[in-house]
Amino acid sequence: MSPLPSDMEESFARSLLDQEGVVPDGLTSYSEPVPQTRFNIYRNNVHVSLIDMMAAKFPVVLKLVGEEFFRGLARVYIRAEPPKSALTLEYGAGFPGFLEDFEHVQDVPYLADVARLEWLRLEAYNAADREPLSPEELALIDHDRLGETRFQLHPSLRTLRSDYPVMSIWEANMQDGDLSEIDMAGGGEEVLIVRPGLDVEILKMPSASCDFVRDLGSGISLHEANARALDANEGFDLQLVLSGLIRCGVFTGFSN
Amino acid sequence: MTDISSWLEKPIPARAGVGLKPEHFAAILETLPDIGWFEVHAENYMGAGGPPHHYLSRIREHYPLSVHGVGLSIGGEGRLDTDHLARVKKVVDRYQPGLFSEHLAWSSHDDVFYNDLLPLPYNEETLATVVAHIDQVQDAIGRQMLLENPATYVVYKSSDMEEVDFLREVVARTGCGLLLDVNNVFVAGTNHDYSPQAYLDAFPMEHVGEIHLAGHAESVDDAGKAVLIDAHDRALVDQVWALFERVVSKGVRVPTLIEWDNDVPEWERLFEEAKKADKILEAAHRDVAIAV
Repeated sequence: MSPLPSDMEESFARSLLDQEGVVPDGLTSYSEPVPQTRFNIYRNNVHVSLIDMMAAKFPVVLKLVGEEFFRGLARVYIRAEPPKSALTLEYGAGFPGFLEDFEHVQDVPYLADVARLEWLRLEAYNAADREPLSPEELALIDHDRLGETRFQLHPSLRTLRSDYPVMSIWEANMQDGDLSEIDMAGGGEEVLIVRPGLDVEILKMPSASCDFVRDLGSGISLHEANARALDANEGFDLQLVLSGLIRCGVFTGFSN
Repeated sequence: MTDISSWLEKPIPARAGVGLKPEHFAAILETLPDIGWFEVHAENYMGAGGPPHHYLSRIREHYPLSVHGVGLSIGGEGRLDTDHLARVKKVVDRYQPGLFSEHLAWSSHDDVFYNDLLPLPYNEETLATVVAHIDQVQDAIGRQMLLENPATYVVYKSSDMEEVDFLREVVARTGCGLLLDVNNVFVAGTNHDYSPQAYLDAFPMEHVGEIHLAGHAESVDDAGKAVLIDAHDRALVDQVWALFERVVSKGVRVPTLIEWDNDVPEWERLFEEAKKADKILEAAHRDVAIAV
């Protein structure tokens, strides 16, 4: 018996992503009564288009594990966490967390953080546009009230703190891919990602900077954010961090 | 702020256009080629900001634009995703395209999006659903949409209408227009062993507001029969050009798009394909002028 029309789409959809790919009942063709090769075209389109999408979004993860392994990895991810909406810009957000737990990549412990960096870079790429404050505008800040100043941060701003030298790994792979110079045991890195204009800037920041930037973003004053950063790391250099942030176009407004 | 009133005065001409690819943003803005228009996928311009909007806004200042949706799942049996419809409306409101089109296909089921254009049976039940969905889309975006005929690889036993009759009925009940994809006609005709020419002869050409032309891949099924795949990854074959000429010879003069979405060539190569389509349209205009 043919399935009810309302079951057709359900069984078609299920067979698109499952392991077996059995041709749903109710399909035919003039040449193949059970059109397996034809149904496989749809299955292939779904998998390949989504795997290609993941490869485009995570080029450094791909380079680190190799193309063939990456495509297999992406296939497992797609089955575990298929897209939930046609807004494919958002698809892949769960990939870093997936890599964190996926048993076959545990020998590359920094992989999830590299994926995080790539994802934050994409978020910054598509974030809202906003003109950063110029050095001239920043010079207008009343120096006596500098400590009371609260900043508005750029909508594209993202930060990442990793236990691994994630920025160095990412940079090396954007160039020649030589990781031998990187000291994997040499401690973590803090990274700031922002897109003040058309290009996404990625900056390695001094220690304790990420929390400092997040604190500023939460609306507390410069004085208080600095005090917290010094608590966390007595070597925190406000001057150095602040000038780096200004140079990157992180600030879009202030009040004091 | 860009003055969009000037955009509204630029409807899409009955010339060739191409699908806009990021690879070509710079070449287009540097050379401002003499091409009729561009088309974009709505889903590629749903971010808040960034380079995609930057470049599209600049290109929009120089050229008419069409927006083509690939994710509304109009042929799906479930409800339309109203969040996605709102996102489509935002793109349409922002860029004021001369045309908006979508597919006779589904791409979402329950809460999963499959990123492909999947087939539906053609019968009274699916017709009612498609009609309701198109009414909903046209209400939301406040304008007529065009519906595209699909490239398909399988047939549903529960279909009891011809695709052309199904499309004709959708148009009658919703007032939408049609996007005739000539490559899809060739692909589906080959895949289901019917004559593309006969399909075109039955097609309600008076409702066609846009044409798509593209390349396809070739394969075979288990029975050794040819199966064509709508891959958009290469130049058109001669048979599809001939079918396009057949459509034009029926008096259809509408914006005609070259789609080349995968293995995207250099700008000049894509532009050549557009010029070839323009020549066919121009020759038809000349023939009409001589006849007058």
